[in-house]
Amino acid sequence: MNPKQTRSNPVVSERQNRTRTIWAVGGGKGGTGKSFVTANLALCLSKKNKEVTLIDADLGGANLHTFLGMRKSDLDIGDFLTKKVPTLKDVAVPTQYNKLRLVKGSDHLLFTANLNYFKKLKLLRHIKTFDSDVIIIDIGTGSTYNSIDFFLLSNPGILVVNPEPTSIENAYYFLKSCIIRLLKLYIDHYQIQDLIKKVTEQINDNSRSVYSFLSEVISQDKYYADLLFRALKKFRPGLIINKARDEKDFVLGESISNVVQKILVINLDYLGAIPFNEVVHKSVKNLTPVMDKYPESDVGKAILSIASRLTEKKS
Amino acid sequence: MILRGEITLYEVMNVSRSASQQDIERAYRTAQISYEKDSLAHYTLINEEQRKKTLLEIKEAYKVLSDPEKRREYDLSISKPKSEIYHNSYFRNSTEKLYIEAGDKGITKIFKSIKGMFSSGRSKKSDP
Repeated sequence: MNPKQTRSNPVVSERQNRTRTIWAVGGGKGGTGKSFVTANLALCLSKKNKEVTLIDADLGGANLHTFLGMRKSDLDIGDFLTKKVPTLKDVAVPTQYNKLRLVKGSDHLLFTANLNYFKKLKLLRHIKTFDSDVIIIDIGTGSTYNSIDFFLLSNPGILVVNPEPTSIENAYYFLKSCIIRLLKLYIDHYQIQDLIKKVTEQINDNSRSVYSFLSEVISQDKYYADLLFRALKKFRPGLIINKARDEKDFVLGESISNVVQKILVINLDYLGAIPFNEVVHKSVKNLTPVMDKYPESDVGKAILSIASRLTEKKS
Repeated sequence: MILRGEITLYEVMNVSRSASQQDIERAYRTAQISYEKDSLAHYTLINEEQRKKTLLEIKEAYKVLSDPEKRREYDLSISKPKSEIYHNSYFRNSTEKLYIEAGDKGITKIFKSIKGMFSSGRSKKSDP
């Protein structure tokens, strides 16, 4: 038997060991509507009789509580991370909605924006202790290792993107950061040192696509090309286009998915588009989620459809 | 197929080997929209030269796959078994010992050996 065949796929096996369904909502740029989508997806599921826990890990920009009409007065995730309370469950508070609870985000930027190894592991371990049907983590903006790692270990990670160049640019930066992180994990693990520099230099600086990088690996060693290819194919995030205004915006998601599959070699599942609508602004101002006040609006229907696709994807 | 060391026309078009003519037409239309010059879908991901090249590859693939006769011939040409999948040992020497070490020690141990999965949370943006 080829000795290479005895090696397991590390990240995939870790995923299979998980018992909880964890979604992580991210996407690079601020203001795309990640927290809005997170809060409303959660409410949508709880209305379908699912137990849902929301975790606001938007470190430094936490406001998920506001989308659910709550004030920032209780304990938050920072109290857990600074050991004021022993478990993450201690800072999970009920919301006004049945079957929906929330771990509020923290303002303590200094210690939360850069979680160290042990705190990150501890947080992940505690997240998995929630006996909810679905746990949704709002990972906030940026491409820090924190957000990338939570995104990679969730199933799926969900990108919320606006049909604007800036948002798309940041989303691609985030996806490439995830891909580089994933490739480096495998390359480090298998000690394919020759490739580490290439991954960093060529993919990161945009001089080569992931596709052409893998093509070169194929010509050198098909086993490793196969391994890296499979690793990328197991990373299967979802995509939501938020604030779609015209016909082009509504077909953009499918185009992005198409381009990403070819250029970045990963499958990006297009989950749907949420139309731009003033009801969103109204609901935020009134501290009431759209799925509570305007479930019959086109926005509400779009979120319902996305929630259904996500739960189908899970099963 | 990429796993066998080559990219098929099906992969060029993002369709499966069993795609119907309708699927191929649809994929072609989607690709044309996706790689239009002013499409946001490829914004910052590829440069103009890569965009043109990709579009050309897709057009060439479409010419073959949209013609049932040409597609049949192409399918026959790629269904021949490939030999020597693992013929190249480019990285073999540096990693040979790892196969022995790995054995069946279980995924936990292997996963623990991954460097940096949960390393410090410095920003990716600071990386080169």
